[in-house]
Amino acid sequence: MNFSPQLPFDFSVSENFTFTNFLTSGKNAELVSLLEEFESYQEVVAFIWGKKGAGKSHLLQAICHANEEKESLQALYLPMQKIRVFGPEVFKSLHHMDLICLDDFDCIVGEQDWEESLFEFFNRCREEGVKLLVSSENSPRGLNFELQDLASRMSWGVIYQLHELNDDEKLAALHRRAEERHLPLSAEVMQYIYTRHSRDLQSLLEVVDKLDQLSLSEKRRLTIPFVRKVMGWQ
Amino acid sequence: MIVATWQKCIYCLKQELPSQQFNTWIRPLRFINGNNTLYLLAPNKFILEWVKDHFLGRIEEIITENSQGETPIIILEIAAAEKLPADISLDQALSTADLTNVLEPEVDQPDQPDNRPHAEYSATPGALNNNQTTKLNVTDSFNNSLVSVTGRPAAPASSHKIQSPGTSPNSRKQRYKGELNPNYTFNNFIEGKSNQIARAASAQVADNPGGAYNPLFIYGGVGLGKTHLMHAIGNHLREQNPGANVVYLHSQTFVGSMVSALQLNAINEFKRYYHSVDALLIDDIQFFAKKERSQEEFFHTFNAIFESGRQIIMTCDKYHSEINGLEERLKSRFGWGLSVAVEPPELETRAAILINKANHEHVYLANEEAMFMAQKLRSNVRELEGALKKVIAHSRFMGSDISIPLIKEALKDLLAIQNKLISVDNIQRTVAEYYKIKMADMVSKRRNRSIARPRQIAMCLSKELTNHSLPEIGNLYGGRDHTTVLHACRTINDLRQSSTDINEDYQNLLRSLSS
Repeated sequence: MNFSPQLPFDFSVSENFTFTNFLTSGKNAELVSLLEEFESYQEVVAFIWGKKGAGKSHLLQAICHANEEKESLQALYLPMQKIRVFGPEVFKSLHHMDLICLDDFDCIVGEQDWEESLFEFFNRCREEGVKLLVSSENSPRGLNFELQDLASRMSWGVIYQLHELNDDEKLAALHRRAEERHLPLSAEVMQYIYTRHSRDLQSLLEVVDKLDQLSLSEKRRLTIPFVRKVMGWQ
Repeated sequence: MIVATWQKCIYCLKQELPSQQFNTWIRPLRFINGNNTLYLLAPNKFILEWVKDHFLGRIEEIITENSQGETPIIILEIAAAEKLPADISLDQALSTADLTNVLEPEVDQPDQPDNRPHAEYSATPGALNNNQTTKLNVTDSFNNSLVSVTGRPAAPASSHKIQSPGTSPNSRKQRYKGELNPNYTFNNFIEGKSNQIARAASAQVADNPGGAYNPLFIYGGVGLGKTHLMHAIGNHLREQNPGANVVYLHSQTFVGSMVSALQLNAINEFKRYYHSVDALLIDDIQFFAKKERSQEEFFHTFNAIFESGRQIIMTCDKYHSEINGLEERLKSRFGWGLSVAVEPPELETRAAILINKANHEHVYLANEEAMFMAQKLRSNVRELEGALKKVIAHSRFMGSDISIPLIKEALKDLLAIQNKLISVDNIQRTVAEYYKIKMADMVSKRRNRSIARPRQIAMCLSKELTNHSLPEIGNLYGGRDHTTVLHACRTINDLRQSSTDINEDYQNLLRSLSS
């Protein structure tokens, strides 16, 4: 029987998030290059921070996929927002993996019991040679740690900001998503969506997905009046 | 027969799963043999959920395939300490421990004797029944070493053999667990005014353990080199006397080991082990605060080691009398020997640390560049090290030598204080203050240039710094249309090209809002 590592859990790694389909600007090239070859990274921790929607979760899941395919590092993706219901004991026994990707790290910062548990886990990871890849909306300096011991450890490795795409790059990403779905999306309609919707990439891509489904179910081409109607934009 | 069936099951899982998966999810499970019921106890809810979703189906399959007669019921639940059988004997408890060397399962293992209906097993192939003479390696109950226990009943303390460091089968990964880190020595400790007394005291202790400076208490903020000094002492002691049982561990590890020992009813083994060390190096003792049982145990450990003239070294983030939640008798004992402070390193020491670390990485870092970095990073050595790693990574990626412009570029991500949550309201307020206009004018209908231009700049910044849609931004500026926002953005972007003043204002506002 072949076990698929993380798929059925509700916070499992999404197959859609790979390095190949990670849309990025040149500003992030160094970070992406580091992550693509993460098995050769020698430190315990690497820290990625950036705005919501910049693609942090995508990258953390992509690294899990890539290492699963290469059979290099046994990786585990832990989105802290969802994991926190299990309490700070969650890290117990996880030190057998090679790589732990802690997403939304900032959601547990400021909570003494979580920080102590993570501090202990960090030390264990260091002893066992486990790597930690951490993501947060703020850099370690911008987080209000209770435990300075944990704060200093989060700054021990490399720290990278994940930069958002600019307007042109986001429009290119929308275009690419529409093409992948064989959805005819004119430049005019795309611009219309872009000026009327929240401009974080994830949410824009979700609009394209939604419009694709609506266009299929209602058998309509994507026109400005159709988009305006189904999206409820005035 | 449940025991044998479970043995087969974990053997199959061991074959089918990658070792990390097995170690992470299956190994922590404990097994209790019930009345035709197979209880699997997970250490926490997370592991329980994961096993349920990923492995329980397969476990059921294997158990069904291998059951002779009635298939046992499988119950997966969380193993709270209080659920362990109260009358569990030491050898039974030890049978729950990890077997590091996995054995082939024996097909016809007899079940537990009737008088032990609750015998418990780890989810490890080879954790055979207790009637056999089985060599067990107890790992988690004594975190910093492997203790081999042979035979049943439990062997007396004198037969315990402490394995030397580095004999762990898990040699694939770098390990410091309970071991001295050989990279931390006196030779590579950079001395400065801030740490010279602590270094001198440490060197004294390393040369004369158990002497006047016992215990040695090193205290100071995070990332200032306390742990480095502690390891340096330990390495020196080991160098002088290779047979010495020098034990380094973090206080949280001590607490964890003690909890495991209590759960496994093996507290006497725990005591014997720690009371017998030649030198005990215990890091970050502030984590003992409010843990009364651990303090009690450490108190006895301290007395045993101290009274026999062996050395104790401790680090802490504050002076011993200032640790809240620590018993007075411990605080006073911590002060019996010598207490030395480590202060944050001064500029020259920080620069010297950077140059030393760069040399270690075979990278050339000139004095000027080291001083530049040292000026920017003042808090602790870990942050300095992190920054240097980033600079080296950036230099390699760019294929350029390390220079001040390259350092500035590389450290932008580290030095940025935070990615503030910027609201349109905050932008309007900041722009209004900057141009000394009223906040109300941001949303008013007034169109004279002294009002309209700042408003356009604020709109442009709102588009740049938030993810609000253009209609939303328009609404927040007095119900304006999204085309007005678009027009404002275009106008300001054009003006920034043609007017240095506008560009400067824009940059000033951008900096003030995002730092």
